[in-house]
Amino acid sequence: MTIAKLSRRYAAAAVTIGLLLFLQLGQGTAAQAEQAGGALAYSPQTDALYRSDGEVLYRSSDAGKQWTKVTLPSSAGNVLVSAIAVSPVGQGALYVAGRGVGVLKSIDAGNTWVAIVDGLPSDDVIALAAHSTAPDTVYAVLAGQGIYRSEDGGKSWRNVDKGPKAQIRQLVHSNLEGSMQSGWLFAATDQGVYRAMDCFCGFRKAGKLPGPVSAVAHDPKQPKELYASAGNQVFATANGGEEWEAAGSPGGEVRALAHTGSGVLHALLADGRVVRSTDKGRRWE
Amino acid sequence: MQPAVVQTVMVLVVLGAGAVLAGKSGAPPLDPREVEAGRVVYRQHCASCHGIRGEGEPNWEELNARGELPSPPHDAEGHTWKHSDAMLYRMVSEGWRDPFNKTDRLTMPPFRDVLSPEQIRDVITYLKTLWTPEQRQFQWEETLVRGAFPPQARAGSHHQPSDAR
Repeated sequence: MTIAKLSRRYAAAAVTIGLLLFLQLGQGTAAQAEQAGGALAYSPQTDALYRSDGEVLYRSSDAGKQWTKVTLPSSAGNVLVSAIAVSPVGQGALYVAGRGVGVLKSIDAGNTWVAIVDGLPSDDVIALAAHSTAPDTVYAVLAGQGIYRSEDGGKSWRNVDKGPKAQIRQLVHSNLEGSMQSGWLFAATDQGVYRAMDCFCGFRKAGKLPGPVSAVAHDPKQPKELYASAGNQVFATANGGEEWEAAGSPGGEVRALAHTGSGVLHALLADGRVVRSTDKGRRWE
Repeated sequence: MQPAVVQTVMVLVVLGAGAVLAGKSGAPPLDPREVEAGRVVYRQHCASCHGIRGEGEPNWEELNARGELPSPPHDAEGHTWKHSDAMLYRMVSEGWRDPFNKTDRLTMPPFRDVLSPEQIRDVITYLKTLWTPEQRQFQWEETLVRGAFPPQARAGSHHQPSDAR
């Protein structure tokens, strides 16, 4: 075989491999966009709602009637927002996470941002949760890397758990009593809701819910009361996730849930609408 | 070389070797006397539930027929290493039940009337021999942040974090 023939074969093989890699990457991006879906969070300090359709971050100061775009740093590039979290205590730090950007933090309602990624092994963050009572504690779920915790407002991170066996879609910290440490983490996963004390001594299934769960939220004033969504249906529990009951349907596929702590449960739907319920998820407007 | 200098050098060598043995953890070396005393306590009071090698009960992550979480492992497969010394001491001393157990009893019984504070410290020190260097590092840092053994358990111990809360 001549050198010219060998070169042509190697070139053909390289093109084929490159094409396969390109197709693989393309599939990954589409899957990420599908998974990102949307995110929703409530700031009790400013009575503001934040939502994202996966690409743009919006803020509403009138309970979701009007929304204004919140600009993310241009250095973050084409952000794919996967999660939003607001610390309900202290300055009310706003955290936004996305695949490709890691975690961004703002302490002025989104006017300025800093990237807080030191100590994170990758920037593929798929879920975020702010601690319910510790203002500087935040949790980040990294694709394939487990759960990381920062207790200094994002200056440093450490791996604290590999997470449940199921795929986490949304994570929330709850001040529910009975934890060995300071609270609980509830995870919406593709296999229901999982629950763990925040010392991370084991994620366990919290009750039985049909199919994959897209979102979970808790009432900080009544921490035994939580809400979860599966498809178009919202479920409610009054005993920390032991038993769930169907509450109501917000009128579309639910992508994210957020509770204000003052009796209002918000749901972000797949079509981008944010709807609210003031009767524990039964009726929606 | 002066005897005092030789002594100082030897101490530094021993401390350095201890640090190396502790891996990258920075966690202090364990007192062999506490480890041995803790091993005896463990076999007498803990092994019947948590296993002779700290392996825990089968299916310890799922509720059993009584609706209780079985005794967890204390070795590297478990989660004991995620807790500070203060928390572990409290668990052994006061007992514990998972709040979502279907029964009200303390599945982990309190040992404050059975073991002395030093014995509780010793048995926890022994458990640390069952962990990986990375787990010891994690647990040491948790102890620095969330609390060391209480004063009554520190008597005669040379291996307590001085700056832990």
